[in-house]
This record gives sequence, structure tokens and C-alpha cells, in this order.
Amino acid sequence: MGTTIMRNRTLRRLGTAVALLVLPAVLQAADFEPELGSVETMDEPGPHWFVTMGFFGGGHIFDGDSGEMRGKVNVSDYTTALYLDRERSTIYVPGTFYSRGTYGERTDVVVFNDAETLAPVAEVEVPKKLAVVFHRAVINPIGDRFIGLYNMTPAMSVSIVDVERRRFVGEISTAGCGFVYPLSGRRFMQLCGDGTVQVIGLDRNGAEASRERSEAFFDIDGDPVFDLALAKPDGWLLVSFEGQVFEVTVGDEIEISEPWSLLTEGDAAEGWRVGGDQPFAYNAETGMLFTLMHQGGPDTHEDPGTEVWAFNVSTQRRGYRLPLEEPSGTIEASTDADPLLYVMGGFPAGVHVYRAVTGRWLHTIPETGMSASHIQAF
Amino acid sequence: MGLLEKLHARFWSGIDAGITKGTRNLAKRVSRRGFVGRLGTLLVGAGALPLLPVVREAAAATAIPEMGDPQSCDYWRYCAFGGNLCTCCGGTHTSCPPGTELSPVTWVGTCRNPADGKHYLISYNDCCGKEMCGRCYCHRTEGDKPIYYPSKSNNILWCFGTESHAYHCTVALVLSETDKPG
Amino acid sequence: MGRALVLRRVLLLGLLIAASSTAEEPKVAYWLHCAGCHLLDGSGAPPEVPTLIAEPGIIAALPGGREYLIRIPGVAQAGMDNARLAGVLNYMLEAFSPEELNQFTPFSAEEVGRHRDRVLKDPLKARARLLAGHQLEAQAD
Repeated sequence: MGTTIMRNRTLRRLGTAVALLVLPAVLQAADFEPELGSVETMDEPGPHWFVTMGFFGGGHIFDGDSGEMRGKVNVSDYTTALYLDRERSTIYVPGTFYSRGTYGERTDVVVFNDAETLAPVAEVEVPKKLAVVFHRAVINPIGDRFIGLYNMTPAMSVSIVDVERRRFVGEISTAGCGFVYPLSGRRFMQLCGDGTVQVIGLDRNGAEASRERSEAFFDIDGDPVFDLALAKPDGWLLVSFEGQVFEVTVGDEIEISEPWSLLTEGDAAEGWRVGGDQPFAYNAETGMLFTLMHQGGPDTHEDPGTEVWAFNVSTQRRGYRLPLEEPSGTIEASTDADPLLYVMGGFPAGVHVYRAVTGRWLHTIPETGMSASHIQAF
Repeated sequence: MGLLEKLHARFWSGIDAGITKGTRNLAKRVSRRGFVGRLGTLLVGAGALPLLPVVREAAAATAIPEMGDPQSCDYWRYCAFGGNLCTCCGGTHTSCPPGTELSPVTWVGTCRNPADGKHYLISYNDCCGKEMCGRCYCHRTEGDKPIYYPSKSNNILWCFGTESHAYHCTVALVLSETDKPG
Repeated sequence: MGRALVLRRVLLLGLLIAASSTAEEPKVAYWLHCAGCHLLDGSGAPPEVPTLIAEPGIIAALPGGREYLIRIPGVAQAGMDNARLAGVLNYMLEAFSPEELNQFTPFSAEEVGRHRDRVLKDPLKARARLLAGHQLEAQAD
């Protein structure tokens, strides 16, 4: 499907080029054809594509290789993340709308956007509870037929939507735990305020079938894990405010690895610390973990980084340090085997693109969205 | 009587007329004039003091010594603030701008007051129902915790229990003194 | 708007109480860890934020009710030690459920510690079970 589109597009471009070549001759002709304009369709997103998100506007889609913007998907003022379903060529966008903009009747929906035309093609209404927190894990797939949406009222729950039948299935109360981090086998993981993780499984109809909790492994007051978890095969990587790395592996049971520290004694003595809005990223193919680092005291977990540090998770060693020209609070990595590293900076925010394995700067994409603050790799 | 108390007494004696209109006005005068910060004046004022004349005596006995400019992100009450300062948006640090709605549901942290060295409970209530004010953005994270622990997280749109959850700005109310920061 | 005014008054009332009570530790701990959502007077914002008025007093008298109160996430996860948490529970019950408490034995740090770490995985279900057959059931939905 994607290749067909690409071929069409290539042919069309070729046509334009031919037309340009013969233009002088054509101009003299009486039968000059005026340009009528047209509307592009989007290619199938490549492994180096990403979307930027920000308060009150986001959804700008970029190709990290060419640096070109490829399109924009509609978002609501309260949309903080979306999910690209490659199988169905659909982008699901959760959103909240008021009949009069900021007031009036509230409607919460998941809008189904065609990934080629970027046009809304369907929507499913969900409970008026969608959480407004800037976070990737407010929407994620659960199995191949459902998506989960994170609610906060401030009581926490997850709404389940059947994307095949395009309907709301139900709401699962998850008091004390938040987010939707997908796992194999129609399950998802959540982070909990008592220092545990929770795993909830759905049955074939999207109803809750199982609920498990891990042992407590971190201290919410002493050294909590960031709410950003990083996908690895069969589980998630978690990083604490103080730089401890935990690997959560979920098979039949929930296993938590012994933590290791991002910081050597020397680093800690120099006051290095992880921080930012989206302070780290992981590429599972290469096993590389990228963190934004700054020098600061306790409670500076959201201060922007002055350097990127790259780690090999299997050896637990640092590979390189990359000083940044301007501090950045947002970093992301593509998910393929030849990953790009995206570092956001400036205002309006641009994205600096690096070869992730070497840390070599490739190019900078300017103006990635007026309010862009987060990056989501496709 | 210490210096603070003297200043405090003078402040209160000087605004008798003003206070009958309620603290909303008082607070507005204080921050709109901005003398708190601009002159670097130490003033004893009114965080937890949206008080009517009838209760003034009780309030005066427990007034909070104040220091700093509520229009500045450095102001002590904003130690875990996330959002736009309402004092820059037509409100004050304790009152919402016209036409917005004060969110009853909020989160509570503690900040240390430099004027007396004591810790106070601060309630960060959002003012809701209009587009984001966009002025005086302020982001500080003392004692801030991750989102999955909502009662201590400022990275949440806290417009709960309001007609609309459109975010406009945030106020910082003092609830009480405490000897246990956290 | 009417509701907002009422809420604001509730807040004011709370502040007035605040002025004279900084020494009352459990109340301050309640304000710091609970009142953000459940409000200073315990009224909450139903149905999303349960009220703490009257209902916890009734629940405390039910079989398994005291355990439940200790184990619900808002209580169990609160950032304080067992003794302080016991104090907050006692304050909450005595202040907001005075009429429902009948021969109430205050919570101790020991009792809180005994149940607190036994994670209540699905509080809503536990609550429904607890109230099954009880008159509160209808209100619980």
C-alpha cells in the first residue's frame, strides 16, 4: 500500500520535472495550462519519522532523515500524545472539546485519522475523564484490537476502546496507579504511588481479566522513578530521580532487576543528575539509553540537560558524553536498528538530529511547532 | 515586639479602610502596585487572609510575614508552582482573574518562607474556564513528585470539579504553618 | 458559579480554622496529604473524589472496614509514617463522622502498620464487597 503511494508520488514529481524542462516552449504556446493546485497524501511513515506535541497545538509530523515536515494531524487543545496503528494505517488521537472552545458542553473522544490523508474518518466517544498530563503513555495499544486511555479526575482509571469495532468498551478503575504501558498478551503496565508496578490483562472482549502487583522496589518519597518508562522486549526500563536504572520484565511474573546507577562516584560528586520534561530515551535494537544530564541538587528533576549521555544498558557503561550548545529538556530516539537521536531546543522549538550510535550531529530541523515541547518517535 | 510584628501592625493599621472591601481587593492592591518586589519592602500580609473585618483580630494574630514579589517566579510560595502566575493575569496570588473559576480540587505542598524561616502548607489551585493566560510562566519543582503520585505532582492540569477544565492560571494559597516540610 | 461560591466559602472557613490551629498536627497532615482532593472540610468532589463526611465512619464499623480504610491507596500511599497516618485517620473520622462513630477505638500505629503494606489491588471492588448488603450500597454507585 505504502509503496503504491510512493510510486504515484514519484511519478507525479517526475511529471512536474519534465513539465519544467519544456516550460519555455510551452509558455509561447497559446494553450498554457494554469496550475490548479492539489493536495498531498502522506507516505507510509518511515522508521525515522516523529511527531511533536505541545500544549494547545501539536501533531506536526517530520521525517528525521530529510528534515522535511510531512503533514499535521488534528489535535485538540488538550491532546498530549497519539498512537500510529501501522496495521490499520490509522492515527488515533485522544482529545477533549468544548462546544464553545474553552467552555460549553465537554466531549471526550478518540479521533481515528487516516494515516495517508490525515483526515478524521471516525470517532469514538469516551468518558469525560481524559487526563491532561504531558505524557506519551496517555494512549497506547493493548493487544491488537484495543487501545487504553489514561483518565484522571483526579481519581485514576483507564478507558478501553475497541478500534476494530470502533466503540468504547469500558472503564477500568486503577486507583493508586497510572498510565498505559503496553505489554505482550493483551496486557499493560502501570506505575503506582506505593513503589510498585501493576499489570492488568484484558480478556478477548476488552474487559479486565487479571491484575497483578509487583513487590515494592522504589521509595516514592526518597527516590521515585520518573513517570516516563522506556520500552524494551517483554518489559520496560525505569529511571529514578537519582539515576538508578530498573529493568521490569513481565512474563508470567513481574521481575524487577537489581538497579544500576547512571552515575559514577565522580559524576555524583560533580552533581550530575537526570532532568527534563522528556529526559531520556531508549533504543532497544542497539540497547542504548540516552539521558539528558545537568548539574544540580535534589528536586531539579525537570531542569533541562546541558549534556546527553549515552549508555549501553547491557554493559551498564557510558559510551559518550555529548555537550549541548543550548540546554534541552526533551530527547527521543527512533526505534530502528540504525537509530537517530532527536534533541529539542530553542523557541520556537527546533529539533537537532544526531546519529544516535556515534552522537554525530546530522542537521537541525527548525520550527517544529509553535508550542512543541515533546517528541514522539513513530 | 519584633521588627516583623511592628511592620505587621503598621501594615494592618494603615489599611483599615481597604480591608472592609475584603481581602480580594487588598491582595489586588498589594500585587498590582507591585511594591512588594519593586521596593524590596518587607511587608506583612495576607496569604491566608481573605478575611472580613469581623475576623480580622484572629487573622492579625496569625498573619504571615511576607517578603518578595508575587509577580516573580522567585516568590517563596511558588516553590513547586507549575503554570502561569494569576497575579500577572488580572488576579492575585490568592485570587483568580475575572470570569474564571477557582478549582476546589488541587494539590498541597510546603514552601519555606524566607521572612520567618518557617514552612507553610501551600495549596496550588488552578483558575479555569478560559484559554491559557500565557503570562509569567513559572515552573519550580521543590518536592514535586511524578504524575502517578498525583497528590504531589504539579505536572497535572488541576482544573477538577470546575465547569470547564480549560487552564488559565494558578494561585498559591497558604493553608497553615507546619513543622514538617514535605 | 453558585457552586464555586459555596466552595470558596468552604475554603474560607477552613482558612479561619487554620489560623488558630497550627499546633494540631494530624489536621495539618490531613491538609498536606489529603485536603487537596478531599477538601479541608472532607466534602471532596463526588463522584470523582469521594466525600469523607459520614461514610468513613460507617465503613469503620463494618467487618473489614478498618482494614479497608488503611489499605485504600490514598491512605496507604500517603507520605508519612504509621503513627502520623493513624493520627490522620483518627482526625478524619472524628472531624467528619462524629455522629457515625459508636464506641470508636482510635487507630494505632501498630494497626496501620499491620495492614498498610498489603496492597489493595482493586479498591473499588473491595468497596463494593464491603458495602454489599449495607444501606450505603445504593449511594456507593
